[in-house]
Amino acid sequence: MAEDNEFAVSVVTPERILLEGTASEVVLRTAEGDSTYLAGHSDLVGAVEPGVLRVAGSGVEGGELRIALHGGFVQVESSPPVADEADVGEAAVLSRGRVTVLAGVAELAAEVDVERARAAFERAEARTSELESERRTGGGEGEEPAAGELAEARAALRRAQVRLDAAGSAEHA
Amino acid sequence: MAGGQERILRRRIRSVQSTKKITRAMELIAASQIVRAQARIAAARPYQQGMARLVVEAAAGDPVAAGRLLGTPERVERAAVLSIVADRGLCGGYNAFVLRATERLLADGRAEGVEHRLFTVGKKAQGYFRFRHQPVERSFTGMSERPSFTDAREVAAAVLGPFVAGEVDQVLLVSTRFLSAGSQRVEVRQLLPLEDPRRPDGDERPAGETEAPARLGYTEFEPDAAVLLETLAPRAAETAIFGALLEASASELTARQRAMAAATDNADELVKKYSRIMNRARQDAITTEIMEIVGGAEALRAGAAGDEGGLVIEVGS
Repeated sequence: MAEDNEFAVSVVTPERILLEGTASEVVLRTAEGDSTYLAGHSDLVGAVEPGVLRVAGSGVEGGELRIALHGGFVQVESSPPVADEADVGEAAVLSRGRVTVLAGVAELAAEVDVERARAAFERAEARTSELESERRTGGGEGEEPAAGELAEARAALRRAQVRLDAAGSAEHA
Repeated sequence: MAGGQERILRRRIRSVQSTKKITRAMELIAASQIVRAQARIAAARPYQQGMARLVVEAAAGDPVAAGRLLGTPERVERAAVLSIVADRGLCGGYNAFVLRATERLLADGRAEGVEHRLFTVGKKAQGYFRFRHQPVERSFTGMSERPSFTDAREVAAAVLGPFVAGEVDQVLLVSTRFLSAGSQRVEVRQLLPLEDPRRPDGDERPAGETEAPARLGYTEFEPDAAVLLETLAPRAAETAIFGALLEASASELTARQRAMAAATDNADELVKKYSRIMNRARQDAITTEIMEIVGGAEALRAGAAGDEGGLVIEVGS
């Protein structure tokens, strides 16, 4: 059963609910840096940067769960309305708050295909440096499409990095 | 000749029967996929609801910034229109209803002097608008039956881009809503600006939501509510597009199942009808044959009798 310092947490993607449970600590990356949410946090709505989301709590297997998060939003509610079907235990957890993370794309560390992510990382790295050197030497004509491509390559690089971070740490744990 | 007609009908029956097998199979396939499509609609709901909650919070956090992104624009001069249909036909009036509604919307726009930029999903829309010389800014195909969120993102990026860049005042969506397994409806909805959650009907908040506004105004924003809304609004619209794609795919499958069930029934009827005509033709042929044989035998006998008679007459005369 949930400990005293635990609150409700859910990670939701458009295609499914990735995680629904309780936690004592949620760490994620916002525009201003890594943020940690504990029980009793005040109401907050924020944008989440791509990064590794860490959920720690007694209900989580191995004490900590890692999720590769490719941007999204977080909502912290200090005391959300209790759902109709919630039993007393759940109501107690909810009274300590709820953290909802909405992400377009997110995967559990255990689900990350490390080899694919590594290959994508190398590909994106090569593409980024190629475009960057092209930009330095070339310039002038066709600069704008190159800028878009560069941004895309950088985003791909970031995605692969996040996946590897999540998976890599899971391996060490 | 009567035998020829019979052969033609037999061939016809065989062809209808094999068509029936195909329509029957399509009906069953569609029926099995509807369940999955409905499950995907249900699975997408928590995310949509979460997004809606965020929009409520952020809108309350900065009502001024929300003014631009929420509600109905006062003046619409340019609008983007996204029309969602299927890649394949054989689904009754499903595609036609949406395309006609889109066409009507564009015609109304021309009458009122609104400049519309058209985006489409589905192969059927491509052909339809090309034939009518209606320029389509971008069309997407290959996602109508099983849309993924990545597909929705791609569509959203193209359709919402002009709004974010300030090139259009409004983004409209024409698609089929999946209300239930028995009821789907073509609807024109506004994607952006977002529907104003603060005033769902007049100034009254619907009952049961009384809890939410109590906390409003005490929420922190990271970044500022205004900045957050700028990034949130396209994401919320993207979520709406994904929801619309899912509902459209479920509606398409339902329409296909219904159309194919009707086609299968019709094939049964045709087989029955053709069998009757064929049996009658065969019976006719048999009757004619018997008549010919009987007539021939009669003629032969009459001929033989006639010969005798002739002889008799000859003798007689």
